[in-house]
Amino acid sequence: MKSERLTRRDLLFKCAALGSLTVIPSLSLSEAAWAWQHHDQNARKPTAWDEIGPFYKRDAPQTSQLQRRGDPGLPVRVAGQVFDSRGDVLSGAKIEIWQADPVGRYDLEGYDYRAMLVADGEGKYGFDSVMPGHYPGRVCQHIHYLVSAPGHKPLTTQLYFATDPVFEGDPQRNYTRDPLIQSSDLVRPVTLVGDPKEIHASVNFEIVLERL
Amino acid sequence: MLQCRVVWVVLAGVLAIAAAQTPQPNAETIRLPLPAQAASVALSARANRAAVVCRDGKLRVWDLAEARLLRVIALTSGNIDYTAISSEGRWIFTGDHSGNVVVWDSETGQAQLQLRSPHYPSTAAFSRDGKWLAMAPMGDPVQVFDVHAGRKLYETKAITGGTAAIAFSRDNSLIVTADADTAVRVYDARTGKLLAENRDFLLEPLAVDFTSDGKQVIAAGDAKKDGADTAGTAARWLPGSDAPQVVQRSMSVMAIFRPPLARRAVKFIALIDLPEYWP
Repeated sequence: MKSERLTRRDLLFKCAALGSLTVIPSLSLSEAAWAWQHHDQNARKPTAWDEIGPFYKRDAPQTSQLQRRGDPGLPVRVAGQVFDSRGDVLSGAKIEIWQADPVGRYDLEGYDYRAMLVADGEGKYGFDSVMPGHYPGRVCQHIHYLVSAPGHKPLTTQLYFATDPVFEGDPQRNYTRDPLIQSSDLVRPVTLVGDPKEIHASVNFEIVLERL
Repeated sequence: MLQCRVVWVVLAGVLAIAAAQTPQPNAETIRLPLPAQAASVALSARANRAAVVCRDGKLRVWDLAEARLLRVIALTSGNIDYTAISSEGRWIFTGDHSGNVVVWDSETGQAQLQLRSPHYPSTAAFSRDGKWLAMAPMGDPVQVFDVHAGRKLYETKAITGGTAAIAFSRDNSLIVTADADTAVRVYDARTGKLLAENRDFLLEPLAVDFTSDGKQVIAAGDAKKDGADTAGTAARWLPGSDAPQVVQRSMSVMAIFRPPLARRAVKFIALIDLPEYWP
């Protein structure tokens, strides 16, 4: 969704076109100040990059239900919103996700625990899965993301869980135990919800793409 | 345990080279005593040399034919993610997890090329004549360098997810890449112009090479869209379920192991015809 607001870049372009910091007649100083301030208030830090890994498989089915009936493991609901770095929501962003099953195996033959999602009109997305398992060669539980939207730089990243035993309750300090984690921002808090018989985890993971 | 694995790594490499040169089952094997655990191993295609990066922060260069240690180079950084050696064994590429890349001259032990990359290296390969280096930082475009001049020549267009493997053709005129977006791409090695693209794979291809006649690309990965093209006769890989991280090429075949795929790697070896692009 393209913003009609005047951005800092627009403002600077207009100023540059005049060869000075004189604001063009159609733009009041107050509007210019608002544009500058509003931009800063909504700006979002781009989501940290993480490597794509060797298990990406294209053409995943469009579904938000990755958990199959009877699957072992802790159910997890992941939800979030996709923005650009100016803070505008990116409706229609394509979100590909893939993960290991609860015992740490990727489905290479089919598309279990693989999906493609499309962000809705508010940039929101969500899916139901199970907590991915640990496996040799990787330290932490994780879910892979490949997010793309027209006019934006495609993002490969991975979602990690603050409850992962590897972090020993302190992901801020211990996230580097997995050498592939580039930023502690990728380690998200996990909330346990539901009654004791049907408990599941809930995680919020916001995605911010850089403009091209 | 790890030391056993290291020895296995070296022996496996020796076996592969020996088998490629003399296709007899009882190839000669040698043991290379290492004073520290190995982190990364690379084998030259023609010179019977092995470059072994050890956990003690040293790069050791071996002559495999004589099982002789040729040189020990103290690395300037640790945590090496990727090692490659040129075909004639002179140039050795090391790249660490912080993105520090060095090309070492194994004859002098000096650094020939040094640079800092935003991401750690995913793969690297020298041209067959050792003049050029193609390197792909994880998630970034392939960068090609003139090793002798120590300068970057060009970089290819960005590919989402980056590149998993690179190889030069025998006459150094082409580069092939196995890319994370599941495509195999062939470039003009001199200009970086994209010449061909194959999208048969559904999963990321993990290794590539040209056939010895240069008329085909071999791409290896875990799945291929239409299945049937296993081409088993064109490929050979080393046995064992606990394979090391090494891409092993001989003059006509290659074996690929990349953990954590070790136990399930290389389900398909796809032969991709590109005759129209072959000079």
